[in-house]
Amino acid sequence: MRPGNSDQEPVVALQAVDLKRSRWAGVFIGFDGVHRALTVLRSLLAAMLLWWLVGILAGNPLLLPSPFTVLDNWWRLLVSGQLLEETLVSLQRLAIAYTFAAIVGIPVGFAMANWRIVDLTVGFVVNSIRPISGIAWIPIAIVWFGVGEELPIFIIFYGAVFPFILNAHASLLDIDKRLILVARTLGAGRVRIFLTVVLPFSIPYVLTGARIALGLAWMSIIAAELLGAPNGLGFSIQYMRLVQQTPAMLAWIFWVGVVGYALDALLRLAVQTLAPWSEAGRLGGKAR
Amino acid sequence: MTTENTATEALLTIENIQKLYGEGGRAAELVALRDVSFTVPEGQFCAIVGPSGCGKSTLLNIIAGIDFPSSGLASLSGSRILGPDPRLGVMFQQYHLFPWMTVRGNIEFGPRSRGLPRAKVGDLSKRQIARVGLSGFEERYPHELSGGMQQRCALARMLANDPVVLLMDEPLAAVDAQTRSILQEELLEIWGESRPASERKTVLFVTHAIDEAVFLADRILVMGRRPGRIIADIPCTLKRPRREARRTRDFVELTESIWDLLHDQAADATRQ
Repeated sequence: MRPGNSDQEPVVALQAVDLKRSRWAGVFIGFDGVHRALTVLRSLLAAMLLWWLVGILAGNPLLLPSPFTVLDNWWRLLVSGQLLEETLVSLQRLAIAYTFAAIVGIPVGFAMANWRIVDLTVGFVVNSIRPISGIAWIPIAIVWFGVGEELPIFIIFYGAVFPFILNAHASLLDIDKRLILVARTLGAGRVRIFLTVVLPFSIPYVLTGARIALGLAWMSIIAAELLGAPNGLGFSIQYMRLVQQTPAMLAWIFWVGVVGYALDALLRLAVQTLAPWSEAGRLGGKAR
Repeated sequence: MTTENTATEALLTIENIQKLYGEGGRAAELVALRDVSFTVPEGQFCAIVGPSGCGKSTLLNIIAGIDFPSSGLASLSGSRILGPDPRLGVMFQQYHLFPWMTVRGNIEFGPRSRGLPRAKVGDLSKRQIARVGLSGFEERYPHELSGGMQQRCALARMLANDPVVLLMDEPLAAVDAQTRSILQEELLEIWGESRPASERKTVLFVTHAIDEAVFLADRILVMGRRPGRIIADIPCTLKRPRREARRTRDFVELTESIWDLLHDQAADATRQ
C-alpha cells in the first residue's frame, strides 16, 4: 500500500468514524448500534413485566413490590438528595481503597515477576490468602476496627489488591522477549527498556486487572457497609430492611448495579484512551 | 564484483563458532553449530541459506550480540562482539514493532536511545520515513498498517541508527509473494546496488528461499544441519542490477545447483 493510494482512503475514513461512534455509544449503552440498544431495552421491559406479574401472584408487596413502586421510591430518594449523598460516601471509600490497592498491588506484582525470591515468599502468601473471600474478614475486621471508615476501606483494599498483583505479575511473564532484544539491538539501556518497552507492554494487562479489581471492590464495599459502616450504599440497604421498606431496599440494590456499571464503563473508556493499541478496553470482546 | 570485494579487508570475522545445547550432565548434547568460520568484507551482500534447524538464526543472533557461542568468536572491525551494538542493525522475521508507538516513534527509538539531540532525531526519522515510502503514515500505529508497510517501518527503524552491518533474519518471510519481490528490489536499492561498491552497506541475510538468496546476494553460504555447519560458500556474480535476472539461465542454474546441495538436508528436516 502506497501513500496517496486513493481507493484506500475511504475505507480508512469509514473505520475511523465507526470506531469513534462505538467508543462513545459503546461506553454508555454497552452495544454499538441502535438496533442492539433496542433489543436490550425490550428485554429490560420484559424482565420488569415478569417481575410485576410474579409480584401480583405473590400477593405480598412486602416480599416483592411492583417495579413501579420501586422506581417511585428511587425517584424520591434522588429528589431528597439522599441517593447522591450515600453514593458519594461509598465512592469516596472506594477511591481511597482502590488507589491504595493499585499503589501496593502493581509494584508487588512486578517484583514477583522480576525476583524469584519475592515470587517464592510473597507470591506464596498472596496465593494462599487470595481464595479467602473478603466477606470472611468482615467479622474480625469489626473486632479490629469497629464500625467506621477503616473497615470498608480495609475490605475494599483486600478485594481489589489481588487482581492488581496477579495481572501486573502476568504482564511481565508474558512479555514478548523479542521486543526487548530489538530494543537492545537499537542501543537502549536497561532503564530505557523498562520505561519504554516493559511498562507500555504491561499497561493493557494492568488495566484489565484494574477492571476486575474495580468489580470486586464494588462488591466488597456493599458487603462491608452492610455490617460495618454507619452510612453508604450498603448501609442504606440494611437500614431499609430494618425499617421494613422493601421498595426502597430494592431501589438501593438496583442503584448499586447502575453505579457499578457506570464505573466499569468509565474504566473501559480510560483503557481505550490510555492504551489505544490494546484489546482490553473493547466491549464484550466483540464490539469494535 | 565479488572478487573485488574479497580483496578488501574483512569487516565481520566469524571464527570457529560452536553452539551446544543441553550442556552439563545431560545425556543428549545437541550441537547447534560446529566450527563455523567465515569473513564478510565491507559492502558485501552475503546470504545464508539452509534448511530449518540448521542454526542459521542462532548464528545471526550470535553475530548480533544477543546470543552467545559456546566457543569461538565473532568480531566487527577487529573487535570482539560482546553484546548488542548500534553499528549492528538487526531485523527479525516478525516485525516486532513496538505496538504502542507510532511509525515515527518506532523509527526514532534507536536514535533516541543513543541520546541524539531532538532536532537531529526528527531530521533522521523524516529522511528514513521518506526513504521507505511511509510519508503520510507517521502517526499511524503498527496495527493500522499492512504487512508490507510494517516491514518497511521495521527496516527504517533499523536504518535510522545508520548501522554498518545489516543482520537480517528472514525479514521477508511473512509478507505475500508480490510484496516480497517489491521489497527485495527496494532492499537492494537501500543496500546500494546502483552505487559503487565502496558506498554499500554490509549485509548478512538469512533466508530459507534459495531464489531469494540468488536474487539478492554477492555470495551465498549454504548451511547443513546436524550439526549446523557451512557446507558450501558460493559466489553469486550475476550482473547487477538484477531486476531482470530472475529469468536468466544463470539464475536458474545457480538456484538449482544450490538446491541440489540442500535437497537431502531439507528432506531430512521434514522427517523430524
